[in-house]
Amino acid sequence: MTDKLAQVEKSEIMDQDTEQTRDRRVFSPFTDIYETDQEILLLIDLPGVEEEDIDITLEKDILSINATVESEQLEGNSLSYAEYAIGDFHRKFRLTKMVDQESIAALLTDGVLKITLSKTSLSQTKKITVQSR
Amino acid sequence: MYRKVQPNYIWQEMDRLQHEMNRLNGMFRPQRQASAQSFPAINLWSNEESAVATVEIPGVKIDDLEIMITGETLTLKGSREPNSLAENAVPHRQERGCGQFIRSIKLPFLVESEKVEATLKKGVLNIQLPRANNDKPRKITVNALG
Repeated sequence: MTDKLAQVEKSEIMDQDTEQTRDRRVFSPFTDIYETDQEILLLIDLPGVEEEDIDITLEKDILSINATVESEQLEGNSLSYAEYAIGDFHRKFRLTKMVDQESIAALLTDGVLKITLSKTSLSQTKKITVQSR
Repeated sequence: MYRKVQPNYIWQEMDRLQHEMNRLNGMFRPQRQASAQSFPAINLWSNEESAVATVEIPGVKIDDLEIMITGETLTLKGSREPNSLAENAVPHRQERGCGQFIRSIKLPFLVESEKVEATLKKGVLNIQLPRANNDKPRKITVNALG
């Protein structure tokens, strides 16, 4: 039953090319990538992240996602059992297809970020009909 | 005389070795960090009066979630629906699991099940678990005689 949900532990980024200035662990969020004729869709798990704390940038063909999470410190309580750690999220994607830089839409629902990238007309799949004489 | 070698014996041995390596790797983990047995991962905060369970469940709708309390056990049951995308969407990468899940954890004390409150915000579930009155430690006053 849980085989599809087997991956439970967030994968921590250990070797970073740039160092953190915040004293915080950094995780690579679980992501689904789908492609349709017109769009590339990214679904990224960002539990506990507020909209304003997500930073999405596209530089050339690198799409980077940075999200900061406020630490979960409950006043007057002590953490008696822990299965997950709180940390920021960071991940980069190299876009293989040309996307329209102007029309990138991002929507956050229930802790899942959905990024819609429209393909430029150049990279859209064109169907060529073969004509017969 | 030759001993008959089981064909899958070597694989069993590899599995055992892998398991052992994982166990050894786990030794370097911070001690408080347990690894979740299955989805979703739960953190439990507590004090004398109450406990709070926080659960990371991004993408789970509130209607697809069931929270149950039996004695000192908290059970979470639910499902994460697969994404309803266009039929012609080609998956390139699927790391986010979907499907049903059920998990139970043992709480440090009995809770007032009537007063349990849960909120779901930004993919994080927060369950407030007040301690049952009859489970709270009772202070006994000592009467001095004479």
